[in-house]
This record gives sequence, C-alpha cells and structure tokens, in this order.
Amino acid sequence: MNLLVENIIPSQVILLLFVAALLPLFSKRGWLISFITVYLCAFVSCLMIFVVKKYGYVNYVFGKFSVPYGIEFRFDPLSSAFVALVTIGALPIMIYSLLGTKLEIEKKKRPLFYSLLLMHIAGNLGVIIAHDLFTIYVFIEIASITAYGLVAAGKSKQATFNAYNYLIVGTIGASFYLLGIGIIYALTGTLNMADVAKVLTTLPPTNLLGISYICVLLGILLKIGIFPFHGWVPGVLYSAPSTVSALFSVASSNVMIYLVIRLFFDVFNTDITSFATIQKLLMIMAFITVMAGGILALIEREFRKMLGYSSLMNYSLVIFAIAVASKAAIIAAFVMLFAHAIAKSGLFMSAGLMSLRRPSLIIEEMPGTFAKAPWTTTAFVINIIALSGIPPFINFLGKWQLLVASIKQDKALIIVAITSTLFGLLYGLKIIDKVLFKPEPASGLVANSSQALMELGIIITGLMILAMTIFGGFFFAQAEMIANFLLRTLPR
Amino acid sequence: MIELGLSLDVILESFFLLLLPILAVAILFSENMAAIAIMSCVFSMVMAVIYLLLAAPDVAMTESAIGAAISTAILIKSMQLTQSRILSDKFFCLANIISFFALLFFGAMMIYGFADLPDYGQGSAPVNSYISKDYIKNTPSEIGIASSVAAILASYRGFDTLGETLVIMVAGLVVYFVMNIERPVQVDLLDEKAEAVYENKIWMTDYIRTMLLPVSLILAFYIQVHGEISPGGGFQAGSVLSSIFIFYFVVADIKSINFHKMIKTLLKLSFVGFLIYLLMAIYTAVIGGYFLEYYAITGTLLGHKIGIFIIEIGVGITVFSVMLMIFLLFEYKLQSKPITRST
Amino acid sequence: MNYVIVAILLVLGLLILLTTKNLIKKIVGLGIFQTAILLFYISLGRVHGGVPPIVEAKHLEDQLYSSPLPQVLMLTAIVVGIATFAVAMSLVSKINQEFGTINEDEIHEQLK
Repeated sequence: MNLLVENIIPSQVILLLFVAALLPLFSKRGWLISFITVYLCAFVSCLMIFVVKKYGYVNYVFGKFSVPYGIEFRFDPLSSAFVALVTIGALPIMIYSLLGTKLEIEKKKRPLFYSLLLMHIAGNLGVIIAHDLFTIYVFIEIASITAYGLVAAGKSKQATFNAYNYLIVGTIGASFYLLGIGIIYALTGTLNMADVAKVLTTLPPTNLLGISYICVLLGILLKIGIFPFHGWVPGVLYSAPSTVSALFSVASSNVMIYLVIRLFFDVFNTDITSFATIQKLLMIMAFITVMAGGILALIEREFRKMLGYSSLMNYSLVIFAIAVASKAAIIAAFVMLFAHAIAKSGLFMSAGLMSLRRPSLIIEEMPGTFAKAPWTTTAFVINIIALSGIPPFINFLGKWQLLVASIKQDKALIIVAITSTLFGLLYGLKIIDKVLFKPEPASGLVANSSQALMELGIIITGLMILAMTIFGGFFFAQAEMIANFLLRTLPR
Repeated sequence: MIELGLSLDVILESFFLLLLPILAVAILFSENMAAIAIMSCVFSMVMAVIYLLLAAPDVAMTESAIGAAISTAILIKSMQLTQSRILSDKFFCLANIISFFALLFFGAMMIYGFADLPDYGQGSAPVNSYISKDYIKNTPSEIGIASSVAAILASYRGFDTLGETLVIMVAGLVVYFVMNIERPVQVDLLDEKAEAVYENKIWMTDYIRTMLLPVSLILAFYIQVHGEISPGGGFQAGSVLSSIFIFYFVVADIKSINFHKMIKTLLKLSFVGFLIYLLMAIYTAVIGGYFLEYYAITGTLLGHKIGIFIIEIGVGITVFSVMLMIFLLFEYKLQSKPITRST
Repeated sequence: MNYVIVAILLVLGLLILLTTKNLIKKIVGLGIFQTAILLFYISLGRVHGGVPPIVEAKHLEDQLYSSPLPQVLMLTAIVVGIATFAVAMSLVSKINQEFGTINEDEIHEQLK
C-alpha cells in the first residue's frame, strides 16, 4: 500500500464524507466518531498551514489529469486560513454537541444528525479548497441542503418554516451563482478559476461581463443575508438547534465571505475599472446591511435573534473592509472575521445552555448566572465583550485596525467603522449588565456534572479569544501575510 | 433580401421554445393545484424534447425521468398531503406590482446583456472550441470509451459527480429526517367506496407487475450498462427504474406493503450506493494513485472502463433508492393520516 | 432566440415565486427558474449541424459535435434541482402538519 503524499490535500473532505456515510449504517450514537473525525481534520488543517508557508501554494487534480480538464483542489494562504477557521472552530462545538444534541435531538435521529453535521462541514471545506467554479456550486448545494435539514431539526414549530424560507432564499442565491458562472463560462470556455482569470484579462469589458459578476456576487451575498433579503437570518439562527447555530457562525456565512474574497481578488480582478466598480458596489451593499443589522440588533428583544442581526452586521463589516482593499483594511477584515466567528459560536452555545429551562431568551429576563456557573459566565462575558468590540480583546483590535485603515483611505469610511462599533457597544452592554449584575441567581442554570461538557465547549471559545488577544501580534502577522498574498495581483 | 433558411429543426425548436413561456404564464395565473401539477409536468416534457433537439440526449433522458415523472409524482403527493386544491391569491396587490416591474427591469437587462453572447450555435464560441474540443478529441485515447459525456462525467470531472451523488443521498437523508416516520402507524382499512375503486385497480397492478416492470428492468439495466457507448448511465437508469416503481406504487395494494421496512432498507441502500463510489475513489488512492485515478487500477485504459462501470453502478443504486424512498415517504405519510373521504 | 426565452423564463419563474402565497406554488416557480438556467447552459453548447458528442469509430474526421461539458454540468444541475425540490416538499408537508395551512399569510398570522 503506497500512499501518495499529495493525497492529503482532499483527504479532509473524503474522510468527512466517508465517516458521514458509514455513521447511520453502523453506529448507534456517533458522537465520539464525529469528534475524532473533526479533530483529525483540524490536525490536517494545521499541517497544511505549514505546508503552504513553505511552498506558497499546493494544488492537486483529481484523477491526475491536467488543470483545465480535471478538478483542482488548491491550498494557498487564503484557503488554508479558512479551512483552519472552520475545522478548529468546529472543535469546541463538537465538544458542546455531546450534550447539546442529547437535549435537543431525539435519540434515534442522532446518528443521522451527526451525519448531516459532518457532511455540512465537508461541503463547506469543499467550497474553500476547490478551485473550480462548478465544483464550488456543487459543494455550496451540499452545504446548503444539509443546512436546511439541520435547521429543520429544531424543536419549535417555527423551525420548519424558517428552514423553508432559508431554502427559498438559499436556492435563489445558488441559482444566481450558477447563472453567473454560466455566462462567464460562455465567454471564457473554461471553469477552472486560475484559467478563467487568465482568459478574462484578454476579454473586452462588455456589459455582459458586468452582469455576470453581479449575478455571481448577488447570489453569494443572498446566502449571507444582504439587505433587503436579510429576513431569514434571525429566524434561522433562533429556531435551529444551538449546535447548528454555533456551527453556522463558524462555517456557512464565513465560507461565503471566502468566496467573495476569492472571486474579488483572484478572478474578477481583470482591470482597474471593473475592480473599482465592484468595489463600490460591495461597499454600498455592505454599508446598508451594517446599518440595517445594527439598528435591528438594538431593537430586538430576544437574545438569539439579536445575535443573528449582530452576525449580519459583522459579516457586512468584513465585506466592507475587504472592498476597501487596502492592506490595512484586509488585515482588519481577517482579524474581525476570525474573532467574530469564535465569539459568536461561544455565544450561541451559551444561549443553548441558558435555554435549557426557558425556551425564549428575552434579554430583560435573562438570568444572572454568575453565582452558579462562574467559569462559564466568565467565558460568556469574554465573548460578549469581544463581540461588542470593547477593548482589550481581539475584536476591538480588529475594529481599531479598521478605523486606522479607513483614516488612511478615505474619511467617509470612518463613519462606517465608528457606527458599527457604537452599535456593538450598545447591544453588548445591555447583555453584560443583565448577566453580571442581576442579583438573584438563576433558577435554571444548575451546574451539575452532566452539563460540564457543554460548559467546556463555551469555556474553550473564551480561551480562544483570550489566546488570540494575547498572541495578537502573531495573529496580525498572519493576516498581513494573507493580505500580501491577496494584493499581489492588484496593480494590473 | 430575406433568406428564409428555416430548416426543420429550427422550426421545431422555435415551436417548443415558444410553448415554455406560455406554460409558465398559465402556471402563474392558475388557481387550481391539479392544473399546476399537470402543467409543470408538461413543462418538463417540453424541456426534454428541446434538449433532444439541441443534441443533448443524456440530459433529455434525465430531465424526462426526473423532471417530468418523479418531480410531478412528488408534487402531487405533497398536494394530497397538504390537501390543497384551490389557491386564493390576490394578483394585483401593491407588492406584486412592484415585484413585476423590478423583474421586468431585470429581464430587460438580461436580454440586453445576452446580446453580447457569442452567436448561437457557432462552433467557434469559447464553449465549443476550447476545452470541449479537447475533451472530444482526447476521450478515445485517454479514457477509451465512446461517449465523451460519460467520460467527462465519470472520469475527468468524476469528483463533481461524487458531489452530485452526495447531494442526492443527502436529499434522501434530509427528507427522511424531516418526515419522521419512527413511530409505525397502523394503516386504516379501506372503506366501501374505496373498495370499489380498489377492485378496478387490480388489473392495472397485474399489468404493471407482469409486463411493465420486467421490461423496464431490462431497459434500466441496458441504460445503466450502455452509458459508456450511448446516452445513458447511472442517473438515467436509476431514475427510469424508480419512476416505474413509483408508477406501480401509485396503483398498488397499499394494505400489504410494509412501508416502514422498505423505506429503511432504501435509506441504507442509498448509503451503500454512495459508499461504492467513495470506496472506488479511496481504492484508487490506496493503490498508489491520486483519488479517482482509474488509470492506476490496471495501468491501462481498461482501468478507466472498470472504474467508470463501478461508479455508475453506485450512482444508479443511489438515485434509484433515494427517488423511490422519497416517494414512499410521502405515500406513507399520506396513508397514515385518518382517511376522510369527502369527495 | 433561445437566450431571449431563457430571460423570459427567469423572469416568469421568479414572478411565480414572488406573487403567490402558496408554499407549493412557490417551489414550482423556483423550479421554472432553475430549468431556465439549464436551458441557458445547453443552448451554449449547441453547434449547428452537430450531433450528440458520442464519438464512434465510423464517424468522419470532420464531424461536428455539440459540446459535452455543458451537458455534464446540467446533469448535475438537474439532480441538484430535484434534491432541493424534494427537500422543499417535505418541509412544506411538515409545515402543514404543524400549522394546518400552507398559505404564507396565514402562517405569519399564527406566528404573531
């Protein structure tokens, strides 16, 4: 048995699919196997980061065909960073899920639930690693259909209806993406991203090309929740099982943001005018969504829905920073993205823990949890402070970086940075006030040993935020390397 | 001088193409659910004919089996399950008018943009001249089979097909997950009126069971195996076979069918089908090649034929079991409702 | 001409999706939208006078073929379409079970 070392590149996706397909056939429970699988994938991601650092990028074509004819998988600084985010970010969620699923999913359905979970992660990883426009479409659909199933697993009556709305918007988005790449295919004749980029530079900038870019980007942005099509976001995150909401914060929308970054810098970057046009469009759409998300988050009374709007605001902020496209702004975008993903997943897990006894988490009625569960509450508070962008945590550093970047670039951009930070501060402070300073102890949060694992997951996210803050310099340096990589083609 | 160079296929194509918007508008304004179901079936059938006229027989087969047959069956079953017969929609409210104008603008923009596309049917368009030409040229020498569609599907872009099989399997899994059949329900006995209808159905089930099913089994196997040298393959065979089975179950004796066990078996079968494909991918890696590098199986072109054959079987099993399972899930849910015969 | 029909179907599909309140009819509209995109791709691959891309030995050297790659892509797209369709239908039937209706307005009423 002689294994080629290159086969490690698609190994994460293949392993996840293999385990996911075997799980319902042979296993009664499946938590341990899922956890080990995700752990192995996280291990491989770290390995690939080192590989990419050494070699710049590595690619792999299925079936050993040559590039435009076969399907290419590629690890480069951008994709390895996102793969690391998804797999490492999924680890505390998997730890949490042992009890999370015990309490929210019926026993018989649990192997199927884990199977869907693993396939969802596989779909997301496939979007990140694949370097072929159509393969990305297939994996977007894999991630989406598993997502609809995962959301529909929620217990409340609304879960299915929210899953339906998610399906409609998600399928329209994926179809627009398909239409857009169809037009690009019509004009270039190829589907491999590097090849398409090469051919696009030789084409005259027709209206059709612009329309195709808009179709593709619109499709992707629909799946993130751009205004005015943001209605489904809070409902989905509210009614899905808490494990699922946490995973969505780490994976799905971030992967869509990856796709925007990849297309914006590597494929659609054909000449200065088209780049500038897409830049302006992205900035406008992101700005509107930041405002909408922030305002809606402030007036929302239910905790998880508020988290949903806050996610929307953060994603749009990241897209805004990406659109600014200066080195400092890209660094800010990455720092904010990663920090938000970890903090938000921790918050959703905490919400899941808190909702054990009370199904609806109205903010005014949130329990003061400090007395009974000190460590978890500390982690929770760290996550909230981080999310709001209050110093000293990493999110604040990211937002500060964005401020710096916008001052350098254009005075008008400062408005976005400042307003978003203000929104974050306001809704964050509301929650901290309730959780820390409410005198009476929680009736529902009894810290017994069976909840320990759930709390462990939450505590790990808090620790991750702390780690990212302490090693902030290292983190910023990595972001700078990614920024350099993305900007390598800019003066075209 | 206007040259009327209208050959027969241009006339046929235009005729069928013009049917499509007419059907779509009819669906738009229709308020009768049964009419919508039938019109969407006709829509898919017309699409299949158009694909045939556009020289895409593989796609035509798949569209007719999946779009016209299975999709309509599921549509009708869900209409029965939700007991919806007549819609009540207000067509001329403000929101609709805004959407109409917005979409009109969108459509106009698309038509304006489409004018920049390479001319229709030209061999010099990038789609037809760049990698497609190389695929056609290289298929006999690199893959060794006649159908370049099957070569691309199973070999060159085999990983996409793996993803696609995964999508089908996931759809089956999610439908199973959502429809929650874990508590086996007692199926009500038929009442007298239904008994009379049931009597009439016996000759139909006999006909299907003794004549239609065996012939279509042979047809499905033919399509499955001949996918490499003619239009066909796993998707087409799986969907054709499952549509015949669905036809059977539409008219069959529901009392004596153990839905529960059948659905669970089909679910497991879909996983097996997907695993066949995945294991072939892993096998090629284990013996020292890349994933899905069929060449490594024997070191000659025969490896490709073996690889493609096996994965097409995996695809066929998955498609068949998932399509049938989804239909049976709907049928089972329908049967486990209390029967209220109103009309 | 094909492309004009594609654009019209895109518009009509989305129009059906947006103007109806019935959850099932919305999915039918979505299906029409997706089918229009399929037609677009297949029309791209058409070559006048071309035959299906099945290369048999007896064909002449300069035989014109339609392009195989769009057909392969659309096989995948059809399958993805029906997968989404089936999942959507199952969600609708569960919604009906939980809410007793599949009219969007009535469901919003119940959720208030």
